[in-house]
Amino acid sequence: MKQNFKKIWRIPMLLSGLILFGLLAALLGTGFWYWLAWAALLVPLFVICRKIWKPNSSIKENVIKN
Amino acid sequence: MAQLKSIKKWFWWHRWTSLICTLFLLMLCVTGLPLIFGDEIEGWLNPTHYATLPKDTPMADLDGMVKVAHGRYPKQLVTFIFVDDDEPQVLVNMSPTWNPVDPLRHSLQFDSRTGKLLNDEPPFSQKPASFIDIMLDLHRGLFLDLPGELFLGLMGVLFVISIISGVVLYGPFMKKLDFGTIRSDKSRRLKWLDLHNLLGIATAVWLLVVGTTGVMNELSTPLFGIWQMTDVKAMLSKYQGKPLVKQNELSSVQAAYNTTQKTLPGMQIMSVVYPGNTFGSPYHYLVWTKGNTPLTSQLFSPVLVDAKSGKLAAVVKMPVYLRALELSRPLHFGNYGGTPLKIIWVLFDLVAIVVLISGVYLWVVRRKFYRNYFERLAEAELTEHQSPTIKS
Repeated sequence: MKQNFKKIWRIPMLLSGLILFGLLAALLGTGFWYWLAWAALLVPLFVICRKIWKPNSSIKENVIKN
Repeated sequence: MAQLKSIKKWFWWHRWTSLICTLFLLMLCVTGLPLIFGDEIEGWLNPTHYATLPKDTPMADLDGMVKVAHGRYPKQLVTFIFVDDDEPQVLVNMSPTWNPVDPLRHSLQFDSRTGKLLNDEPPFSQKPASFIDIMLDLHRGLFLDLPGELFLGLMGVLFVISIISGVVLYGPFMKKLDFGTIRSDKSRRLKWLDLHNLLGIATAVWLLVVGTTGVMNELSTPLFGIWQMTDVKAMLSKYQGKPLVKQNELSSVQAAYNTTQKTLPGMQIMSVVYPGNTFGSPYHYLVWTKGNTPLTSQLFSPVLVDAKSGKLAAVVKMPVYLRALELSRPLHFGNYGGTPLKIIWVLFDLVAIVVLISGVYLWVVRRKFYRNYFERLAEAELTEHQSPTIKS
């Protein structure tokens, strides 16, 4: 059960952390921090695009597993 | 079974809060898009051509500008002066009365370096609303001012509840799926459900931040009202009974500007609200300043300058709820991290639109689908209870 929780929430937590970091970095810093903020905020968008246009090969595995 | 019951409860909240607010949220997302680049679009549609002068040209005398304004409209009141930090302009605002929404209120635009009158704008009611004005009016309050703002604030609260309940539901939905799985080969419903979940969870924090700060912004009128009725009233109580300062008794506004600058050397002056203005003090110039670091440039400090003697009366401390409101602005507008941040805001906004539309789609095709879904969940829970050693 615990492992399942980790599996489900690992990436969402990571993306949420990146967004939070990005929003605050641009608010509290400037220059270098802007670059970090933009990069951090682009990660979730990039992940979305990847998942849509290059769907996981693990779909089939899932179907078999279930 | 308890878990299934709680999932059903969260699901009920997610469905109904979303359904009620979706139409308005879609409108907010669509009107919000051009607003992200509002300044740029406005400058592009109505460009002002400023004289080219060296960058460090000092500001021209404010008293001179006010004199020109009074010369043109001797019977009118100067209500406030806006000093732009973005463009070299100063706006002297005038009105026949202190009514804050007087249809005849108008602005005179001056070049802040030469003090030359650039544009004597027509009264507010006769000024054709610009594209951005219309988008903003709709976005902020459905053209209905305060009632509209409060209504959209309420829709924002529902939106925030729907995001939270959506995040809670994400767990059970993803029990048997890897992150980002999109089952495009099974059915259209499943594909859109997976997409809805992926887009929603990946942008959840952004949606939450922009949602809550949006609600905060919708509350700005009541919050400032509370401040006026409490702190400001207490501050002005010692002046009670004194005659109001008339416009012909005022001390120099430029002197008030200089005094403020001298008292708070690191601060930038944004505007000077004239005594008598509903949003000011009857006895003072209210000078709004802001800091010059990334964070403090979002935090405003008002300074009171005695309008008769020209002496500094107080540097006002803002209450926590107004500080929160001030920080809500950049976090909602996305205008605090350069052009790339604005582009990122547009992209997140577009994702939000897809989440909203897919949510509606999933509701439309709901019935059969969710009955099956809950049946499957119940079955899964049953098997889990019977054979706890088997891992799913």
